[in-house]
Amino acid sequence: MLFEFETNIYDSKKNDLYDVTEGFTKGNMFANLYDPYKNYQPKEIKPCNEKEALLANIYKLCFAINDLNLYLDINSNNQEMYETFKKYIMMYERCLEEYESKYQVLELTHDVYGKYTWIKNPWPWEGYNV
Amino acid sequence: MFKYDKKLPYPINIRKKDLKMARDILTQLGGSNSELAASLRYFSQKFTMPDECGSALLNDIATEELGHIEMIATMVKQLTQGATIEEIKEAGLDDYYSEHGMSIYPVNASGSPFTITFVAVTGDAIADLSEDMAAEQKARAVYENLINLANDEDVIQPLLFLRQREIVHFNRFKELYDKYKKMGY
Repeated sequence: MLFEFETNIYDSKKNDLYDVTEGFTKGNMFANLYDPYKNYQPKEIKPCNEKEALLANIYKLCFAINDLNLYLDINSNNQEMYETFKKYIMMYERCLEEYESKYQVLELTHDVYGKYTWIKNPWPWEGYNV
Repeated sequence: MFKYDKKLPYPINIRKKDLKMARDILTQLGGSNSELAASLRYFSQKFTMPDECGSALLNDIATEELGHIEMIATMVKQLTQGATIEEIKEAGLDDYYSEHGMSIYPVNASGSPFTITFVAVTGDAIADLSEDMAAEQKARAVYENLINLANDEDVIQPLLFLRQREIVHFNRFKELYDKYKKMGY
């Protein structure tokens, strides 16, 4: 990877947020809203190679942005949460750009690497971690 | 407008065929508490929310649910991949197969097709948000039933994820409901 990032660089205690790995695994960034079912344990995704690791980061950051998005919709004056939201967006854009330039385009308007690949790459329902 | 991302909200890689499980999970595509019903419910309601918070929250949850529709459809697709006619009959999917082949058609677990009458939209924010909170709780209960029926981690993990999303959505709707009550709606 061109760059690594720590997923727990934000003080999760301060605003009660999980880091993006734990949040994604549990399906919820906000620790106070997590409600486990019986003894079922959500399992962390284990990437097997660099491509999968980069994609896992995209999944996690995309999820974190979405969950913060819903919070900010009704708490738009929480500036601290907005700053975290902005940082996740920047990290997401960097991961996405690296993944798309190396492996596969995930957004149509990013299909600009020399030839039309949108129809060639696998669809999400085809597995392979996409 | 909507932009399509060529990825799911949560990855799905089901390696083991299970037609009975596919039939059960299909209910979250075409049943009364399905992701499809959720998405259309919030999409319809967003136009009459009384302020920018309501428009945003209903819009953004409706959009998230579209991604969940694709997750459910993907699970059904992968659980039925390579099914034989014998397996289709054995799982009680022969009626479905005769109409729809191996396509992903929104029906509930008993085979009844999706209908928009599952969705209530009143134009009243308090009534609509009460409906939404109930819908999220019902969907959570359905996910728990499905998790109880499942025995494959490849199936259980995405179901746990989707179940937790129902809980988060319930809480966000409740926050908005409480805010509107305070405002005098």
